[in-house]
Amino acid sequence: MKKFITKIILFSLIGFVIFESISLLYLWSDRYLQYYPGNETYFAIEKSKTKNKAKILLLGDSVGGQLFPNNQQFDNINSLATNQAISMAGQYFLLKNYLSVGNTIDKLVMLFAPDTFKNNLNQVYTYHYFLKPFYNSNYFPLYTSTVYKQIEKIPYHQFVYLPHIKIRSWAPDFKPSDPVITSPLSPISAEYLSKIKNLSIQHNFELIILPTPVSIKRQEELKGVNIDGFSKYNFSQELEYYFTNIIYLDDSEFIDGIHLFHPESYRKSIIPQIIN
Amino acid sequence: MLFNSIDFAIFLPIVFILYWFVTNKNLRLQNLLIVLASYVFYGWWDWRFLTLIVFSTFVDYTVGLRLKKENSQLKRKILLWTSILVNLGFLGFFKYYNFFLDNFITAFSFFGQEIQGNSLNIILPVGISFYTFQTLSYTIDVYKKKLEPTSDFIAFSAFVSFFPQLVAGPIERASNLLPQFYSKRDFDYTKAVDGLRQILWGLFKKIVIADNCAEYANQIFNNSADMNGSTLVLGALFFTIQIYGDFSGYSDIAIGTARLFGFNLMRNFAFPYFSRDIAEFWRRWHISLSTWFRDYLYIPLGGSRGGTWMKVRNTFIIFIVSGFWHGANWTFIVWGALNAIYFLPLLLTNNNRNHLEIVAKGKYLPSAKEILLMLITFALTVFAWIFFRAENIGHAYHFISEILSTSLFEIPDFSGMRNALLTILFTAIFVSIEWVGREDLYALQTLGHKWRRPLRYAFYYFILFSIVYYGNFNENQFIYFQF
Repeated sequence: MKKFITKIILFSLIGFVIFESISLLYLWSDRYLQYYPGNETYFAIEKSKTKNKAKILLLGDSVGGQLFPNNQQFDNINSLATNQAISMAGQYFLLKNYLSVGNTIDKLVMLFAPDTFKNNLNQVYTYHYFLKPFYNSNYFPLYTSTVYKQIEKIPYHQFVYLPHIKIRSWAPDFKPSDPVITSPLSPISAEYLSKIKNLSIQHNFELIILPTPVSIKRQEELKGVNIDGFSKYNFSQELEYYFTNIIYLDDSEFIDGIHLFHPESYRKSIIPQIIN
Repeated sequence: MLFNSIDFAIFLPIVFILYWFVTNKNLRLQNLLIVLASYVFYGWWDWRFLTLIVFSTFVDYTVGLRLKKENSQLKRKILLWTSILVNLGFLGFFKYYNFFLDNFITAFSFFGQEIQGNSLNIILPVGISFYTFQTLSYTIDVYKKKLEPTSDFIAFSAFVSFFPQLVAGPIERASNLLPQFYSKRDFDYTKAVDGLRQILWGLFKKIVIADNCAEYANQIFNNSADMNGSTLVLGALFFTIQIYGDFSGYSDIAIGTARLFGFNLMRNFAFPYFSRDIAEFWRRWHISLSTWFRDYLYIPLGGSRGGTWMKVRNTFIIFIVSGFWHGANWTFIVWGALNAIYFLPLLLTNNNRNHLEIVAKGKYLPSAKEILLMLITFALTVFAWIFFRAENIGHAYHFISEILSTSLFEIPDFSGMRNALLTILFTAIFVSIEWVGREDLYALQTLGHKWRRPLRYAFYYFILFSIVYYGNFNENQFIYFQF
């Protein structure tokens, strides 16, 4: 038994050291990002730390990213659109990065599908898309207690520091135990939208929250959203504008009920709303 | 709890340490630990499922003891049927209730009779088909006086719920597994190392081969209407490799884990894709289920002893029931019937036992004839798997129609299958290793034993690296859990 245990420990230790060393090299080279699911987040993080002269900054989820991909140039619009899984907290971190390097903007446009507001860092994707890029000391000062509380519920969240976990798309099979959020806005979205609004006042830029096109199937549900309920927030006007300006399209226009088959067709119709 | 999860990677060493270091002095305590660990393992999915397994254990334990005391044939029969009805009743309700209801409604509406029936939102308890068959085998063997019933409730509970094989087999016979709970287990270094090696190989099969193939198989089967014939053939091939890697991988992990605790489970797969005819394939595929049906259904029905009609009838019954065991869908029934059609000519011409030894035994390569026979058998199997994987009969029909069209000669569509070529390369390595190790119980059993130690360990690390870096952790559920 002693021989068996010793051998197992030795084999595991050597394996662990080799794995992590190779992973670390891979991590430093950034090559893993080439085919990495969610690489748009890392690209957006890097972009958010660079100087840019564009006067309109665009943050968005994956539908926003379809309309304004963050690896393309748009005249006066700098897109940092990523995906909904980074949550409103992640969007706020990107904005903070962007402002902290001295960028100034006239307008911040947030382009989201309605479900993005429901993200409360309680999804199976949270591990991969939020924890891996944002669970580190750079962002801890920007965390609220709600964020910490939610992260505590995710199994193996400490493992996220291991290089071989970072470079792979692995995430624990996490079944959120939170009650289903019935309101259109999760607590984390409410907290961070409020912070974003405060930044807009502090840095003197306009905040616009725009809807991406939505399937007609959801018209009834979304028209029933209680807009008056938003009055308690400092961003209630922006949210009201959002829910009263949703464009509904036939379901056949969507790949999966959310993402668009032909995003370029709708980009042109959204640009005037962004610029004006 | 899944074998390919971090939860299990933590669970297994804890149970191992408690088993060999804390409870090793007392056999009953060791068995009790197995029961508790098995309930934790099983309850990890949903603790409510435990009530079924506990009830089933209690019923079969009691029936076993009563059968021993009872001399009246009528009362013995009643006891046997109590066990059968309870076990098959669970299975029937949880697995087949909605299927029968829907089909009754359809059948009645065909004759112009509209009847009402409400489908129930039933969650299928994981592995119910496996443990109900295992406990049934115990009661039947006790009834037939082939086995002494046990009076040790803890040992019996451990036999029913033994976590390595609880949810997807091998479906153990009481005569093999139960006595192992009666005798003291001593730690055996060679056996434990062998167990670990088998676990490693099982994880490779599951995570690298099956789960990567699954991604492409799912993509092709789920979008089959948009795919050309050659891509559909590729999809069927991916599924063929997936199901083997998935299920035999699970069996390897189960057998290997059991060996760590000093238990020997029966072999479940014996390189079935190297078979030279369908009869050989069925002697090598899911052996524990095939032999279960042989012993408890086929032979009691008369087996192949009667006339031609009897042989045909029994063959169809066993294959169709076996298909239906896999799931409440007509696709599984057609899959079973198709295999019966493949098998019958061999049985009726007395050619069903032509290939009892592994192919090309003692040789590096097979003969041209053996290659041809293996390819034909493989092609027949791939064709049958289309029904197994399809959503319904219509889906299978369209899938096969497109394969038989001229689009079969077009270039396969690899769009959206970024790493498909790498998966094919890994599959080729996998098949080569399986070929080299085909004379052993599993491919890695003796492979590399004669190599120098650094080379052997480098080989094990290569397998481990492939799992960590190339493994697919998104398709993590085992297919056979749904059965």
